[in-house]
Order: sequence, then structure tokens, then C-alpha cells
Amino acid sequence: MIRINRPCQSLWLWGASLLLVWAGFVSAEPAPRQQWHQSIESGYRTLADSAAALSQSAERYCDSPETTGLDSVRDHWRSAFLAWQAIRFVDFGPIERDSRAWQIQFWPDPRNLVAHKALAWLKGTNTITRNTVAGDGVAVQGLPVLEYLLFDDSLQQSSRALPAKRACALLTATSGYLAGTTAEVLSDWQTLAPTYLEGAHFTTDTFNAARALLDTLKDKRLEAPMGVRSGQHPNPYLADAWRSGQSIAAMGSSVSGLQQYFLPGLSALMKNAGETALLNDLKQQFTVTMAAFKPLPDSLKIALSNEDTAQLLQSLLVQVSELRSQLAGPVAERLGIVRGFNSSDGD
Amino acid sequence: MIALARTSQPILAAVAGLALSGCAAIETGASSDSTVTTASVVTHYADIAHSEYQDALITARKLDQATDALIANPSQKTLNAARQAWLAARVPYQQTEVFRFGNTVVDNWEGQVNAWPLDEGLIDYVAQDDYQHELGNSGATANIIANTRVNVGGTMLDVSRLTPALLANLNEIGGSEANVATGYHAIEFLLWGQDLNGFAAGNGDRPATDYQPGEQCTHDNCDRRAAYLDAVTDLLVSDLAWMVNQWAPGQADNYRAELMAMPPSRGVQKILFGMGSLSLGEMAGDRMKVALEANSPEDEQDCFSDNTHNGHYYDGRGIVNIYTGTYVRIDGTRISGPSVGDLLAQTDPALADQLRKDLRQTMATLTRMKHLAESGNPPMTFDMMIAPGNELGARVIGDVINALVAQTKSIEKASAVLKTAKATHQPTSEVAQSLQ
Repeated sequence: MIRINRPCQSLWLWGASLLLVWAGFVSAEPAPRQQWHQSIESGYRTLADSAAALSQSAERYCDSPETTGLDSVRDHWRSAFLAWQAIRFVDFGPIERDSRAWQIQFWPDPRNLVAHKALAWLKGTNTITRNTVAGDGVAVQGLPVLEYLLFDDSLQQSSRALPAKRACALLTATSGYLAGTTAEVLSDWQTLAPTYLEGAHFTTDTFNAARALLDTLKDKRLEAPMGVRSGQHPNPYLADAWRSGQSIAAMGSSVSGLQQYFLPGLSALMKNAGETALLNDLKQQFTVTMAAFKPLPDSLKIALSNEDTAQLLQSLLVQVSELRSQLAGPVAERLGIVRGFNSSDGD
Repeated sequence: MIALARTSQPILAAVAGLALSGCAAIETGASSDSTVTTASVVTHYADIAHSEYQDALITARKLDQATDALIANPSQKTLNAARQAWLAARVPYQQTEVFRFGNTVVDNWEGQVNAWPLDEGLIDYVAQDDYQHELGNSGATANIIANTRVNVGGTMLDVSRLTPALLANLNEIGGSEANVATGYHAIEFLLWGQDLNGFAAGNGDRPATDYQPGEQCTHDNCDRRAAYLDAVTDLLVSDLAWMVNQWAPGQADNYRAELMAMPPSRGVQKILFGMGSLSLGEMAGDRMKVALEANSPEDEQDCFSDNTHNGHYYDGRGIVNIYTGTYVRIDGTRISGPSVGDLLAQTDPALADQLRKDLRQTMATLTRMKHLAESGNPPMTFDMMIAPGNELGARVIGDVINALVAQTKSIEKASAVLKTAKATHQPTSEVAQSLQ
């Protein structure tokens, strides 16, 4: 950073900003927020497309379960779920409206409200439609309830399991609702463009969103289920996606989502600030963190049950912590980004 | 530093007045002829903490006496008296919650005093068919009252003698925060029992005969249930006494001394951090939005007694107390002194005005929630407000959440303003005039 503390301060500033404008023209690199808006839009598009594909596959399956088979729906669920993990760091803008993030994924759910609500629908007699499901709260509107229908062990052994009529009704209603929600998020994000590009506070919001994702990833998605604090025991149910065995895959997708949708905009911001060396360190830490995911299974429960993989989880935790420290420490400091209160701070 | 003004008005009348007027007074407490310093603000903050914890201790002792009377002579009358004492004890305690965030001495201690939500099957009998507990928690059905030995996570524990020390050791046993063996909510469960009414009217309905010795005992093990209640209320009293001591003036080795030794500007940041964290993450997020958006009565804070609206109301009041530097004690004594609100008014009067308006708006929405829960026609408690399709209830809670979000934004700004502010303040008298 240029330290400015002399009488000709304004001239310096003026010169420096001219230089930045000029540099922007020469390199033809988009401005940070322009880059972020494009990246996030592409993340939301992937999500909306995969949710639409999931909804269609659910319809096909329920039309002819014998010929289609459940595995195809499960694959589509995984794609949609991982697409959401990649973009779930964005916690401001259209995703905030009507608690859409919870509509897509209600979590944490330590008391299994998702299964409780879903089972009430499967056992009940009320007509299952997108609207009736939408009226019963966020626990039955998104990916976790679909995961319950597609993967839950005890449900699979009961007569209420797919392709039972009410299970199919809930599967198609919820996946249709999810497709609608994710399409709205994409279109609202596109509409937000001028506001986002003009609003300087969105730089802070975007940065803090990534920082909050890493906080949650470390504290709630990794440390809590691993039981790393003294007196705690491992409890894989505290992670998300334990039914489908995708807890670790989901975390991997969240970090790679930051790399894909957050890092390009941040790179532009850091280059503008002349922080190339620090940027290279951060990029390197992203690479190392992604590498730490590679040898691990998708399922946290399986990883915790084996001494070797449990050790690898510890290594992953070290890398995730380091990534978080770099972003929240030197990077935030050099960019002058102040941390605000976060709505997920409560315990 | 503390200006005491004895009022003849008892606290209940004061609260009723607030409810009637629909909004709380948000006036700062500093006298108008002096400049407020950061050091005086932090000192008075500690004074308020000390008074509030003293009140929490006084009301907890009354609760302890009332539960002793219930144990000695179980009847609907003594049970009701104990329940009333619990409700009264929550009034000052909830106002202290704002000290939890930013002061690790409180946060580290709080788990034994006010932990929630709990897997109540750890403590006593629960309904067999509809008990939702934390997945993977091996202590969720341990039932300490029914067993002299319990197995939690493969460890066999001797729980034959139910003492305060044993219960303290059992809290969060097995590493699960849902294994709450102690504190207000464990006592609440022992006085009310599970609320099995879902979204419908009604709270927990534990019979007084659950404490009846001999053959009239209901749900078995009345002697152990009584011993548990005796021990857990004794523990609450000793825990609160410890915290009162942490904030007491004139001691060299307590938390107050530590806080006073810090640079005062750090103390001011702690004050604002506490206000913001309680407002947004805790109240708006954890305690209201989850319950509302998921229509989940399990996420209601005082789910056994249905006193949740008062929990929220007095949390909000606690934030106002430290912003304004005023606190009305349970005996009606009004305490007032230099506050973070005064400090902000010296630095950024417009923002101070905005934040005061935000706090007033929050208290107005909380007052509406309290009014609807206590004297609506018919009363609508928090677990009824969150029922699917209850538009009025959703709006009332939504208004509180929105007001809390707005006030947090102003708190965030205040934090930034006071962090960069230098010691060049205008005299308070001018500030006081500008706020008229």
C-alpha cells in the first residue's frame, strides 16, 4: 500500500487513481465487483440448471419408477447439492429474501426436524403440492428433505419409501419448488447488477461472505462433528449431508466454489491494491487445501471410523484453518475490510 | 459514579407502564454538565452488570426457597409458587444476557446457568412417541432421575447421590451441548415438564405429585426428582453468587479489575460487540428466525413454560440498559450514569439519535409480542405465533427480527465511529440539547 502522509496528499491520490484507471484499461481486466457479479451469476446459473434437471428427473422417475430407477434421481440430487455448496457462501442479496438459503438447505438441523416434518407429510392425508409444502416451513422445502426421501436408511425399509404415492408427491413437489427458488435467485441476482456494481459496501459484503463460509466450515462443519474440543466425541450427525454420505464432498465443493466464484474478483481487488505477493500466498493455500480433500472419502462418517482417514481429516482441518486465517488476517487487514456482525453468530 | 434515584413505583407497575405506552423510554443517564469519558462509561457498565447479577441472585434465592417449599410439601399451590418464582427470576437474568458476548468470563460460565436447547430425556421421563433429541447424542435418553448409574457414550457414571457438584460435572456430558443437566432451563423442565401441545395453546403440565413421596408419587422416583431439583437450584444460586463477585468493585483479582485494567476504548468495543451479537446472531437468528422459518416449536427458547416472549423482551431491555446507562432494579431503585449512548452523542449526534430510534422501535415490537402472548384475546404465545399459516404471529415475530437487524446496523456503525474517534468531544450539555 502507498503510505500517504504529506501536504500534496490530494495530488497523490488523484495521480494514483488515474494510474489505476489507466491500468484497468490496459489490462482490460474487469473491476473487482464486476468480476464478482459475473462469477456469482455463473454459480447461480449452475445451481438453477442442476435444480431444474433434478426436478425433471424426479418427474420422470415418478412417472415410471421401474424403467427410470432411483439412481438417476440420486445423481441429479448430488449435482444440485454440490452446485449449491459451491455458491452457498453468498449470504447477501437475493438469497437473503424470504430466507431462501434455508429454503434451499435448512441446516444445521441437530434435532432432525427435516425427517420429523417429512414423515408427518408421508403419514398425513393433506394434499401435497408445491404450495402446501411451501406453507410448512423451510425444513420441507429444499435439498435436505429430498436427501431424506432418496437416501434415508430407515425410510428405505418402510412401505412409505419411494416410489410410494405420497413419497413421489413430496419428491416432485419439493424438487419443483427448489427449481423455482433457484431460478428466482438467478434472475434476482441479474437484476441486482447495477446496484451491486455501484454499491461500495458490496465489496465488504462479498469478502465477509467468504470469510463467514470459512468460519462455518471450520467450526461447525469440521470441528463440531470431529469433536475436537476437549470432552467432545465425534458425531457425524452434526455435519450436513450425512444421509447421502456427502459431508466431505460438500465441504470440498464449498472451497472449490470460493476458488471459482470468489477468488477471481478478490484477485482483481488485491492486484489493484498492489498485494500480488499476498495474493500468490492465498492462491497457493487454496491449492494446498483442495489437495487435502483429495485422499479423503466423500463421507465424514466413514472418514471418522478409520484411524488413517481420521488423521487425514486433521490435516484437512489444519489447511482449512490456515486458509481462513490468511483471509481473515493479512488479506482483510491489507484491504482494510472490517468485520461486521454475522447473522449466524448465535449458538 | 452511580446516581441512585429511589422511586416509589414497584417494578411490575413500571413494566405495565411500558407495555401500555407501547414503547420504552430510551434516555441516556448522564448528567448534562459534564463530558462523558470512555473510562467512566466502562466503569458504569460494570456497575450495571453488578446490579443486574445481584438481582438475578436475589430472585434465584427466592426460587430456591420456593422449590424447597415444593419439595417439603408438594401441592398445586407450592408448585405454582415455584413456577412464579422461576418466572420472576428470569426478569433480571435475561437483562444480563447482553454481558455474555464480549466478556468471556460470562460466556464460559453461561453454559452451566442458561444452556439451551436441551435433550431433557437426560434428566427425567419424556413422552415416548414424540421426543426429538439431538442425533447421535447418547445421553439424550439417559434419565438420571430414574437411574443411579447411567451410560453416556460408553462411560458408566455413578449418579446415585444427586449433589450440585455432580450435576455440574454432568452438564454437557459426552461433549454434547444438548446434555444440559443444570441451569434455568433444567429447572424449568423440572417445574413444567414437556409441552406436548405443539402449536396449540398450553404449556408443560407436570403434576405436583411428581414430587410426592410414597405411594402417591407419579412417574416414579419422586425422591430422586426432589433431590435433583434441590441440587440444581442450589447450584444456580452459587453460580450466580460467583458471577456477582466477578463484577464487584474494590477487588483486586476479579473480572471487573481485569476489565478496568484494559484500555477503556477496548471496553467500549466490548459493550458494542455484546449489544450487536445478542441482537443479531442470538436473538434475531438463533432464537427467532429458525423457529419461525422452520415452524419448529423445538426451537422455542422457554418451551416448557411458554415464557419465551419475556425472554426476548428482557433481552431487548438489557441492550437498552447498557446503551442508556440506566437500570431499574427489582426493588424499584433506578440506577443511571454515563453510557455508550452519551459517548456516541458526543461523537456523532445523528447516529446516536438513529440508534436510539432503532432501540425504541425494537422495544415497541417486543412489547407487542409480550402483549399478544400475555393479554391477547385469546393469548397467543410464541409457540402459537410460529404455527404454519399464522400470519399475525409471523408478522409480529418478523417485525422484531427486522427491528433487531436495523439496530445491529446502527451498532456496527457506532462501533466504527467510536473506534476511530479521538478524545475531542463537545460538551455533553450541547449534546443533550441536540437530543431534545
